[in-house]
Amino acid sequence: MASPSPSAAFPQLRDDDMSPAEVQKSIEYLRRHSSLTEDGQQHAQGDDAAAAYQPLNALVIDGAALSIVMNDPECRALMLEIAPLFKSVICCRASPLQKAEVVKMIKDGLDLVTLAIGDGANDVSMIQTADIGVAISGEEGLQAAMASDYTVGRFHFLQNLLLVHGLFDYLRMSEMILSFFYKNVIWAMVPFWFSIYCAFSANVFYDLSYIQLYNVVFTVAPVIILGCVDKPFNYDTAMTYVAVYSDGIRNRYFQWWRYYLYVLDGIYQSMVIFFTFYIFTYMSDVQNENGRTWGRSDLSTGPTVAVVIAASLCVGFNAWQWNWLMAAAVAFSIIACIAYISISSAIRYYSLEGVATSVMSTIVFWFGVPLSVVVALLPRYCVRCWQKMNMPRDLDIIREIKVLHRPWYGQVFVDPDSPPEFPDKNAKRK
Amino acid sequence: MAGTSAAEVKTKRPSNTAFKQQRLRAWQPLLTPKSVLPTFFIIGIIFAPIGGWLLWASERVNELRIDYTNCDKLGSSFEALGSSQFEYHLHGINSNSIPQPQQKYDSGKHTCTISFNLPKDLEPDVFLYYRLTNFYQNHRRYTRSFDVDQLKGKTRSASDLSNGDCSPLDSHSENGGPKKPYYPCGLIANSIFNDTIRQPVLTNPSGNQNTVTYKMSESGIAWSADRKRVNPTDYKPSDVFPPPNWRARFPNGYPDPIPDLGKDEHFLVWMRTAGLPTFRKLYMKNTEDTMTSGYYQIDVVMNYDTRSFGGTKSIVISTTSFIGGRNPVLGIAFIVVGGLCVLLGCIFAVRHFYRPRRLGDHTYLSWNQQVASGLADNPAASASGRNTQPPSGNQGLLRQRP
Repeated sequence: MASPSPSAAFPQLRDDDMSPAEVQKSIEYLRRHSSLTEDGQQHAQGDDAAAAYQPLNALVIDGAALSIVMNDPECRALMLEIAPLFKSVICCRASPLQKAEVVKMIKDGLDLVTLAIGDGANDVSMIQTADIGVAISGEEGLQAAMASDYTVGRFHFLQNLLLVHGLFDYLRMSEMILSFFYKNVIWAMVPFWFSIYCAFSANVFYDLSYIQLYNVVFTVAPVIILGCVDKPFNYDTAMTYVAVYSDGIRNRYFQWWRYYLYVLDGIYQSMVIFFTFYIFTYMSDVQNENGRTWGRSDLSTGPTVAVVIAASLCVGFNAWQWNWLMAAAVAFSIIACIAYISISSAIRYYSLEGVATSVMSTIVFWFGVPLSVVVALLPRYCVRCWQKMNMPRDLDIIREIKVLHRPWYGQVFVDPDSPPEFPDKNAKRK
Repeated sequence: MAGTSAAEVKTKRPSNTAFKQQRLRAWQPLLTPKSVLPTFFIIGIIFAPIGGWLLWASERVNELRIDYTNCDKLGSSFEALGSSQFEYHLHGINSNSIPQPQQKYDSGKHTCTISFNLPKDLEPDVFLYYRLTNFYQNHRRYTRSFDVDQLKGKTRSASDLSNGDCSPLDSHSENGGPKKPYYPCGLIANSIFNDTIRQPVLTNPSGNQNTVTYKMSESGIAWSADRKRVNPTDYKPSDVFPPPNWRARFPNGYPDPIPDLGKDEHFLVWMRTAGLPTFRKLYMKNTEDTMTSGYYQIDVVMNYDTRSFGGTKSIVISTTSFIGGRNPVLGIAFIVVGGLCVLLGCIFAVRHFYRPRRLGDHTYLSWNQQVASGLADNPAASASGRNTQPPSGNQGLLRQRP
């Protein structure tokens, strides 16, 4: 890499600065002792991984040098390559445009999620360029706050924002979105199984009012509560066990295969619920002592109630904790469904008239609904129990520590002057 | 999701209530063996006896079914039925010991006579159904094919009904005359089951009578909600035609006044479209008298052609229990699920007792795994994960953009 001699191009450099050759040597040294090779492949494995440590140096680059680096494409590439190796990179005296440029370079060049935090008007472009923009409101006015995604009061609060709110938000979002898809799949697939028996004529299985109300009233509350207030443990625990934040970075709760599992679970549950009522009905449509027979809207009321109950309980099961909001949401869902059926069956000339008497007076309904709900939720329950008992994840273990009051370590402050610790592969485990 | 504002201006600080700061007390369910294993066993222990109880109730129901689809091909002397054409489920009686039912056909009166043996008395209530197979009353076009207002009693003209749900059976013009609506319009009404099933006659009663008719009533067979939906009509007989398949009943059109369909319970039962392609509908019932055992004959006037759509028609005589008609699947399903839960509980128990995992052990945390060789100086830091090395270089913690 040909570079001009520093003293010629930049008269402000001192004589004891490193020559380009020395700079090149330090870069090679960094490369060798990190776990990256020149093309970014991991080459340290096994025991070498223990020796491959992150250097504790920082890279300091000021605005003038930054403008030179940004203008030269080779320098940019080199900067992109070695900057992540450092413990931290400090760009000082950078103009607002340069700040935004650096963020953009890292964001696009390394394909990463970036966060920018700032408090003044000169940070606005940087905040807007980054994926997540955090502003500190207060000392320098509100311009940064108005341009940002999040606003905090102190720089120090960034820690809380990331480690507590960020973690909780990630967990809530992933669970809520997956549960939302699930509850719609289970609802929509029941008529699909019915179509096998109605000559595939695309007949409406549910009464139309059920379809309107399902997503608006019957199952809206649990997912919303799940997405708003659910959390695995409390604030202080999240601040203590900070490494669990990496679950979000590694995206362990919102992967594509998890989504497909939820969808498959919804399909399975819809199959169970429909076929439970089918096998209870196909022998004789007579479900009452009065000998009268069920029609189509009777046949669909049972699965409707079963689906609402199964979906609400499953969403509740997916939640980490049940506070009074979640309990009320699940109870509301189930009660609203049954209340709607009871009330609407009294309305004259309504399509659901009389359904309460013909359906809710039968044993098939009162026993078929619990049976289908139990069988529907059984695989999910078993898989989750097995996973939590035998292959627990970090969140599960931390919850156990908290709930069962096992010994835990409440250290929050880390002494910055303590020497870095390297694992000694020859020491025995105590 | 903003953080709290600066503390200098105290009034801007959000209130420190449990609700607003999300510190609500919550039940923290943990799936530990102590809660999971009892759950499985309790569900199993509850479901299995319920299944047994439901199975017992279903076995108490007495039911017999006789298929008479092909009766009109028979001659005028009794012929025994094949074993696929009848089914007996009588409590306490071996089905193989019951003599086969027999049928004969009188082509002059289009009447099929079914003769069958009832080995035991049937306690009231006794219900008689007709059962059709392969009849898709749940087809989309079919279920919409009726007019609510017409059934409520309003006079709907031919133009009101045209291109509506009732088409193609909405209106008709005869001999080039004006178009008049069908009453009741639509496919459901037209396809009503129009065999006439006469009441069962006991041909060998004890005592000195020759035959005893077991009187069954054709009222009270429809749900009250169905009855409320159909009102007497305001049409005049000359305004409407009966549907095509009803011509046999009303060869010269409707009499004056048009019969109140709300009182025709067979019509109401038929209009409550069934959910599955094989269904039975109540025809008549007796809630007071016992159906004594003996040989019975039932005459059926055969007007309804099921062979044209590949279906069959049968007569079903059945009692009910608190679970309704005969339904062993209910009980069996509960027993199976109960057994499955117990089995799962055993599997989980075995796995738990073989090398159980210590609960809440922080050494299981993932960031403590790779420092297993010891961080004796600062176990606290390592346990909380605040001061550990990244697992494999710094690429491990850098996340790709979604």
